[in-house]
Amino acid sequence: MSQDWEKMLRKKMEDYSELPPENLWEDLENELFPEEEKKQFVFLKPTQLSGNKSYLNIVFRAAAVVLIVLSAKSIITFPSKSIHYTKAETNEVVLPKPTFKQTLDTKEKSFISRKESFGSKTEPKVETEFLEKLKNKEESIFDLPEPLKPLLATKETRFSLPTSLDVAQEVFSAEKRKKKWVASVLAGQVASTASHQNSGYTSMSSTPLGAYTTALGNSVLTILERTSKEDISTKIKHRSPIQFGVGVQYPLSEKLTINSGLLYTKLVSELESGSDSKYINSVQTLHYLGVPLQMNYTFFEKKKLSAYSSIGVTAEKNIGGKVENHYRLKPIIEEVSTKKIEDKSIQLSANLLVGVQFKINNNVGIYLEPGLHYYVPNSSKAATLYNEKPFLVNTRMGLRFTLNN
Amino acid sequence: MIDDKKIEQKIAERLLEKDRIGWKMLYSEYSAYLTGVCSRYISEKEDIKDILQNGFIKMFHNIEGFEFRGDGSLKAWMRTIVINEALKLLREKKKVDFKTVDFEGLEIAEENQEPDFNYISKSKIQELISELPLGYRTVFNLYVFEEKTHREIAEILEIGESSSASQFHRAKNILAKKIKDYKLFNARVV
Repeated sequence: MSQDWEKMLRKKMEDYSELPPENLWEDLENELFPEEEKKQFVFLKPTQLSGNKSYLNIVFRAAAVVLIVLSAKSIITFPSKSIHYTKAETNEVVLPKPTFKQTLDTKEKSFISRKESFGSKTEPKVETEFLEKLKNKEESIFDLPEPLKPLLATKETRFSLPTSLDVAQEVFSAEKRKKKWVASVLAGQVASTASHQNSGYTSMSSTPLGAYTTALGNSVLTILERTSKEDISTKIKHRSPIQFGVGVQYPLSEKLTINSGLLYTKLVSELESGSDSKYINSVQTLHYLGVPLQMNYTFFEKKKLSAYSSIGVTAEKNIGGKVENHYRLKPIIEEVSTKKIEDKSIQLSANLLVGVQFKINNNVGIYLEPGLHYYVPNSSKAATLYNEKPFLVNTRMGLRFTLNN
Repeated sequence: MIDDKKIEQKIAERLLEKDRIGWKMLYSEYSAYLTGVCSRYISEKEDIKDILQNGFIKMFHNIEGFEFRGDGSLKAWMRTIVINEALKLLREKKKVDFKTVDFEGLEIAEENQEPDFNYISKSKIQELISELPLGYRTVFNLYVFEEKTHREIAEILEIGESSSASQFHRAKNILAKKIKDYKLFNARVV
C-alpha cells in the first residue's frame, strides 16, 4: 500500500523529458564522428578453384573485367542517385519521396496549428523558412533552428514534428521497400566426378570400339587388331566441371528474389585404354553456355549473415568442344588427332540449393551455394559426366553486388 | 504514440554500425528523456551536459555489449549509464557527504505522510524533487525511480542501510509537505 504512491510517481514521470543542454549533440558529433573519409571500395576476385589451362585464364580475366565494371558502376552512380536527407555524407539515407512527403505535409499542418495554440514566440519567418527547407529536404528535422527548439521540450508539440521514430520507421521501411538490383559473379566447383572402367577398348560413351569399325581410322583399327587377345581395359574419367557465371537478381518481395544470367561450364572427360606401348588416349573438352533461372527464398537474415533456399532450372547449350585423341602402337603408330565436336543438343537441369551469404559491406556480399543438381538426360551423343551421374552435388561460390544502393 | 516495439530493436541494431545517422536518431529520440533523468540528480547545467556527454560516449563504446531484451531494454540501459555517470560525478566532486544527515527536515521527521502526486504537473514534481537536499534527493531517486533497495543504495552511496532508510523517510515527508503547500497556495490544475 505504501508502494502505491511510489508506483504512481514512477508511472507519472516515466517519460518526463527536458530540453537537452545546448550544443550537446554538436560536441558529441565532433568527438564520435570526426570528418569521415570516403569509404574505399574493396572487393575480392573469385578464387580460381582448379584448372591450369590458358582457356580458363581468358575466362577468368573476363570475369575480373566484369567485376571491375560492375563495381565501377556502383561507385559512379552513388552521388547522383542518393537523396540527401542530412548534410552531405557518403552513407546516405534514402527516403521514398511520396510517402514521407505525405507524412511531412500532414504533420507540418498540425505543427503549425499546435505552435499557434501554444503561443510560440518565434518569428514566423524563421519557421516558414525552415518548413520550406524541410520540404525541399535541404534541412533536417534533427537540426531545428534555435528559436524552434523550445517546442521540443513539450511533448505535445514534439508529436507535431516528425519525430525521429517516424523517421526511423520511414528509413527502415524505405530500405526494405526499395527494390535493389543485385549483380553476381560466380565460380563453381562440382564436387562429383565419375570414373569407371570397361574391359576392352571402348569409346568415351563406353561402347566397345569394335562396333565402330567403319567409322574408325586406320590407326585405331590397327591397334585393335594387334591387341585383341590381350587383357585390355578402358578407364574413363569425367572431371569436375568448372563453372563461371554472371547474373542479375531482382527482388519480388522482401524474401523472394529471382535471378538469371549466363553460366559457362566446361566439362572435361578423359579416356585411357591399353598399356604404355599400345594405347588410346582421349581428352574430350566441352564448353557450354547456359541460362539459369533461379528463385531464392531468404529464410534467415541477421546483421551480416543471411541464408536462403533456392530452386531453379538451367538450360545449357554446347557451344563448342573438341576431342584430342592420342594413339600409340609402338613402334609403328604415334598419332595425335583433334576432332571438333558439334552437338546441338540442349542440356536441361534442375536444382535445389541452399545458400549462405555474408555481407562484406553495404554493397558487396560473398555467398556459398551448395546444392543438388539434376541433369535431364538428353539426346546428346557426347559422353559426359551428366550421362553417368545425372544427380550431382555442386557448391558454387561467388560475389553479389547491390547496384542501386 | 508510434509503434515503438520493433523500432527500438531496429535502432539498437543500427547502432552497431556506429554511423552518424544511427546515433543521431538515438540522440534525437532519447536525449530529452535522459536530460530529465539526469536533472533529477544534478542541478548544475554544466554538470548535466558533462554527464550526458560522457554517458553517450560510454554507450558508443559499449554498444557491442548491449543485448536487446525486449521493449524498453535500450532505454533502461541508457538510463543506467547516465545515472552511474551522475553518481560518479557526485562522488568525485564531493558535493555532498552522503553520510551527513541534513537536519532541515527534522521537525517533520516523525511524521509518516504519503505525498499526493495527483493534480500536479510533471515539471513541478521534478522541481520539487530537485529542491530536496542533495543527500535526500539522491536516496529518494534511487529508491523510487531506480527501485533500488536500501541495501543496494547503501552500497552505492557508501552509507549505512539504516541511513538510507531514514533519509528516504525524511525525503518523502518533506516532499509531501511541499506538495501540500504548493497545492494550497496555487490551487491550480496544470
